[in-house]
Amino acid sequence: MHKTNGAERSLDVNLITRVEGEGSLHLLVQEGKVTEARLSIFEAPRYFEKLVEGRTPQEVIDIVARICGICPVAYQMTAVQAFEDCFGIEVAPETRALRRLMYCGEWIESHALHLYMLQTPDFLGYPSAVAMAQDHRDLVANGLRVKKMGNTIIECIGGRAIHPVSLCVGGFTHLPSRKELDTLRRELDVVIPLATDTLRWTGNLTAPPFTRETLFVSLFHPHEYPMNEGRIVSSGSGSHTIDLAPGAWADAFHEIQLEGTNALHARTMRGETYAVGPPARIALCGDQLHPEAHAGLSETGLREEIARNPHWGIAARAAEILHALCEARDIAESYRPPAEKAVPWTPRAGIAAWTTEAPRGTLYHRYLLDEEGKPRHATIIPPTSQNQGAIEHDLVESASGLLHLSDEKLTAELERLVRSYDPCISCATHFLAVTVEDTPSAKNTAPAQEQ
Amino acid sequence: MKEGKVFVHTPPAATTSPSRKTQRTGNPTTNQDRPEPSTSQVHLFLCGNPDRGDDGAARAVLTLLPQMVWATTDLHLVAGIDPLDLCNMAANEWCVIADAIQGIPAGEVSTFSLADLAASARSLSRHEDIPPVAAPLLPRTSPHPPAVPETPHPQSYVPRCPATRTSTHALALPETLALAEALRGTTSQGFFVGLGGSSFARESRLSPPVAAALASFARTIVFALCCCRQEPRQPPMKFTTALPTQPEHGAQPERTVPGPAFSQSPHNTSPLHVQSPAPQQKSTEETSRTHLNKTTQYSAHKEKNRKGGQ
Repeated sequence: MHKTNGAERSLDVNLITRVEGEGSLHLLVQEGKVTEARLSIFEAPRYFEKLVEGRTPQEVIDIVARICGICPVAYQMTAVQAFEDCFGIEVAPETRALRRLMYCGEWIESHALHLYMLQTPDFLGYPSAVAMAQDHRDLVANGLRVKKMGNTIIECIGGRAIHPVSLCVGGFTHLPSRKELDTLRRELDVVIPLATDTLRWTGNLTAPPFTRETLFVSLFHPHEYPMNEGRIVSSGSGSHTIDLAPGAWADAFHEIQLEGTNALHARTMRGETYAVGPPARIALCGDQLHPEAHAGLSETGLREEIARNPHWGIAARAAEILHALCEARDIAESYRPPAEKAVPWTPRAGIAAWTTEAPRGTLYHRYLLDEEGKPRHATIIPPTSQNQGAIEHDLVESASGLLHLSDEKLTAELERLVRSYDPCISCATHFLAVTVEDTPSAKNTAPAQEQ
Repeated sequence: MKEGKVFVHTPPAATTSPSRKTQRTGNPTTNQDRPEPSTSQVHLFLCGNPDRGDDGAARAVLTLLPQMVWATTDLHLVAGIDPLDLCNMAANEWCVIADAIQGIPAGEVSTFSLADLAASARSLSRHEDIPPVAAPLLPRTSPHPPAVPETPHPQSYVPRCPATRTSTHALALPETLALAEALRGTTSQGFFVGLGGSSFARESRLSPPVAAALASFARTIVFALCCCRQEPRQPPMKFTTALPTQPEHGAQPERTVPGPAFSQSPHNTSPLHVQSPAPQQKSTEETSRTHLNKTTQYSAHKEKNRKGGQ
């Protein structure tokens, strides 16, 4: 950080800690006002959308899982449902329940990692989970148990915890036995009280006094908390409220390229930034939470605060962990294997597009398929690229009230705000069309991605 | 002699439960609530995924470990090490963790002290303090391989060792050890034995250099287990051993490693004495081939060098 002329102050955090991927933060203050906040992502573009071109649907499912090590189920689930929607496949209710169980596992492990290991140290004043564990052993140990429960669920359904292998178009390649799910159920009974205590505990925390208005976007399902089905909806009211089919994301949103970052930013067609993820889901679908999670969240009294203050994402994740654990228990209890592992299907040309709720928020896939069902073009919009605009907006708003702090404290507070969104920078660096102009002052330009 | 146990950390009901295969139950995290303390046992964690090429090296080495190892060793077959795995050990139990790693030449075996690895993670609390720790400390089982920093960075960006960067997606081994240390209230004692891999693609075969180094990998694991059993348990200051005869170039790889007989006499104050079960296999040259420095890092049996860098 440096100051110039007493009127301009710039702050650079060159490597944001405790977030996945490599990103930096630049803040510019001119004449006492924050004029610019930029979350730059300089992790290399990963070209996944190009990698899937010409691949079979099953290869696509396997490839997109590699985009993220912590939310591979989300990428697989979105792709598989996009293909099934395009091919006119309807899976059995038992298969649907099993997929939901698998998604619960991912939410649990992803949220637990962020809540206990990344965000809680901010609330309790520790630089890391390792340092925190020395004074709060039970809290960290319980967090590890909850996280492991999520991994166990994914492993049980998907064959392994990271990059599971059982999901396929039409169903699964392998089905768990009744006995396996009975074991799972018993383990869930042990872990659910830990998550209940955690949700209750978040109600005793104190968050930085920052509030803002933002546009929330998530899936909405009339009968269940949104995961892999529902309509894309937004907060607000009036004619600008969004309500779309899960494959119609591109009707209301688009991506833009901004200078200095390798990730595309998503905006509404009206140019608005918006937020996705647990706070958005709580704000838009909080009534659909499992009764135990709903009651626990009500007890904290934080449901309204979650929508106003991004730091309370910790309570949103705690509520969603409890929801996912309870729903997983219910599914495991009532599980009956489907009549067949996977329904037969025939590929066809068309547009395969779908949206699901990844742990970090709305995830959209769109594939232009040829007659063999192989993508000729692909678009993948991860949650973090949708949240980037909202993060930068919040940084400007938050920093304006923190300028009296020293450089070190201001940096720590802004990093904490970024972390509250649980950004996954590795996910966000997806395909970019880069053109290099061969001029004396060569510079990279990136035209808008073809839709 | 006490029988060791095999812990297969797999999904529920996927594990059979014969006498020597025990499904782990619960997740005790403190020494007070852990079941059946077995203070004389050494825990061996073989990490990796056998369907991901060289990542299956630690599983593949299982058949090369001598039978005698299992008398006092609890075996854990895991995809990756978890802090709770270490928390289940009693305070005075030692362990050996073996896994395929990146950052060292394929086929090279390196060993690190768990205490040293945990210490390296404790200094990572803030990114300003990241020490220049060698890249091989990150097990390949981490879901996100370290990003290659080839993108143009902001002018003020200072590249740091990516292998030690704290990730939200998985805990690297040093962080796992540091976290377990904080939870247990004591340092995890033992060794990490890593085998450099070259191919982690979706296949069940090991790459040639890794396959050729399996015997060396097995011997190093056995030596590390022997060090853990040493009474009094001290980091090995001196390592006197005799290696089994190395196969000649082009010969069939050995299928078993002769189990070294080691002395645990209370009168013997040197850390470890390993005697060759086959005296004719022992030679001064081979003995001197094994090097262990005075701390706890050692690099053993470089197959590549032995075979002329093939």
